[in-house]
Amino acid sequence: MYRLLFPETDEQPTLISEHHPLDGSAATLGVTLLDTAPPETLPRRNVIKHRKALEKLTIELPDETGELRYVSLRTFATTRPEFTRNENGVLESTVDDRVLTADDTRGFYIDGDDRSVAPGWRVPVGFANFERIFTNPGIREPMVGIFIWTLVFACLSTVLTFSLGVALATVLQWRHLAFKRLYRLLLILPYAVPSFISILVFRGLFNQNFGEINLIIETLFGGRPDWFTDGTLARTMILVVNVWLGYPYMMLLAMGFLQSVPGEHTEAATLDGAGPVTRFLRITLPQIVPPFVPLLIATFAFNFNNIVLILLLTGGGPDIPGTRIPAGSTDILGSFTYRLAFQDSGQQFGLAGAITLLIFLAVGTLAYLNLMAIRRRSKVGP
Amino acid sequence: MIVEDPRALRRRKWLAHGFLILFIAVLLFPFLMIVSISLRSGNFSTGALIPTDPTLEHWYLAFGLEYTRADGTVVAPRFPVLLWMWNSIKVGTIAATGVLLLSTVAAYAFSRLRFRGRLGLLDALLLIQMFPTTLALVAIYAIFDSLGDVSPALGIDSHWALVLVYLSALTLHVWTIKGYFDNLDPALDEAAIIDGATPWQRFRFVLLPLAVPILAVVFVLAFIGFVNDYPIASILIRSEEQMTLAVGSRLYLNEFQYLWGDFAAAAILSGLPITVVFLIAQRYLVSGLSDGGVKG
Repeated sequence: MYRLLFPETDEQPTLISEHHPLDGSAATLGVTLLDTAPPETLPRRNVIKHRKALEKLTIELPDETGELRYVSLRTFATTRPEFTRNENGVLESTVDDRVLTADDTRGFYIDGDDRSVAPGWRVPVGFANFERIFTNPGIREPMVGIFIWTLVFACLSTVLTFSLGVALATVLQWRHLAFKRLYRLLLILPYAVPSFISILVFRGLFNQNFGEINLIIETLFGGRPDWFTDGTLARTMILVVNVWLGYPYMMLLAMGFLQSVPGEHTEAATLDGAGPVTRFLRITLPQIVPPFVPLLIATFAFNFNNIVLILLLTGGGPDIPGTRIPAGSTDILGSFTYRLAFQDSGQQFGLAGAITLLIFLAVGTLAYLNLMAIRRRSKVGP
Repeated sequence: MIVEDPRALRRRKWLAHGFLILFIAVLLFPFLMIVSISLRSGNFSTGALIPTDPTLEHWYLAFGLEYTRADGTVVAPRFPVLLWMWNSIKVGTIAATGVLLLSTVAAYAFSRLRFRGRLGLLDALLLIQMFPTTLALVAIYAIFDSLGDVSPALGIDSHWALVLVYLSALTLHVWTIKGYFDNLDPALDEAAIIDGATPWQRFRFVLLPLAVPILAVVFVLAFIGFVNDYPIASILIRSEEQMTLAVGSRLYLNEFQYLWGDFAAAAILSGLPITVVFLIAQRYLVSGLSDGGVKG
């Protein structure tokens, strides 16, 4: 059995409730004045376990002055509904004289000044959300910017990770190199660490005031770049982190493909006097690119929707000033949609769904291209 | 065999090692930094790579223990890291087991049984696999929001809802296992057929024992994928005690509460096991990565 203790405040003396087993049953408990010293209370950790049961309780204050309900971890408070519904379905405020009427075309209650009050309910709107995307400048303009950045981001991420991955794989494959296994193990570490952890680590390291990266930059060059508030810098940071995360995958693939390049070709080229760079560009690269194509398209498609990186690193920010919906300079289409539906802007599921459908078309095209590339590859043989 | 100029060769070796060592130094910087930060006192401290006054405070908190500072103040753990870890492992294990069961059976059917629409279905699987689940987030939320009205066990904030969504990630694994089954000699099946084995018996006693390595790889791959998922878990899970690690860790670093040191310890604690599992499994993963989807 448990009792609830309400410590002394300015308005009330110390109170203690009746006994209750906290087994999840609903009950109304009375409280009495506690005139002895307050007993020992449960530690915070154990209180968490009883949250569900506490939510079921109502505390009746003495002299019928009010009721308390569980509002947060260690707090009970008086709660009263802000609105009451009268017989013709109109909501009347209990605080001020506002009156809300239901509007079934918008799916919201409307107050006297024609403003909608959240939360709403579902109503059919036809193609209104698509119309908003294509005709509303407050939505269309940031969306065009975001779309371009999405393409640039996915493109650059693919090209940069590919270049770095192939370069490292080529060095690692060199037969005169010692400690290959050790180098390989260290080089794939970014791939092995869960990405949500490494992204958050970078979020901290890039912090403007006490992030280690800015400390180093300040010692070497002076100045602290504001990675999270300057659009261009934020985009650079996103790319740097994404290359760090993504090159090991490319490197592993390239090491596999490099093994199938016949050694005689490069040797013949060496005899003809080709240097290592020419050999790589003219002999090796053309032979590993064809099997890479489907995987490059897949990487592009993955980055096109790489919302984990954006959401965890910058959250889409810094916000583009002057837009009607929250749109950030590092937002890609996917993270923009995510924010529309699930974050600060009031659950615009309809609009988010409409944008998702457009992304779906883009990804569908990519998927088709990829399928064709795979087909061609399996016909020619890997 | 071409004989190279030994002087040029030595120069190139130095160049290669120099490049790799420099690159790895940059690469390891975040890892070393995070270890150092987890041992520094306070949440905003900066300083040398080797902390001047190392403290285990953040580590105590990560393990859910209270820490008493030298001046007597007691710090209580802010977030239930071990609970989040347990949630991640629980959801990941259940979902990966489910994926393994479903995709093994499906792969067997696609590899060994001849039925109408087989090739079309295989292509469809390949196409579906290219559509990231993140695209369906709005739909997933709407579905489970409504499902919750019918059965709270499948609603928002339920681990079973999460498992159910994760089960849909099996398309890639069907292809991987099918590729493996295709490479097993059909003579084995034929021998079993002559001995009068039913399709189920051929699956259970002939193919399954031979496929144990690939099943292990698929399980590990699926498990890591689920533990690392952020978008789906972040929309389906709301309350702190139901969160998985990926969702919970985000709470450490926001504008109102910046627990850099606490995060560092929690990140190492939770990231290390997954990293080790991955490094052990990676030699098997590499081959599966490039040819899983191409063996028609």
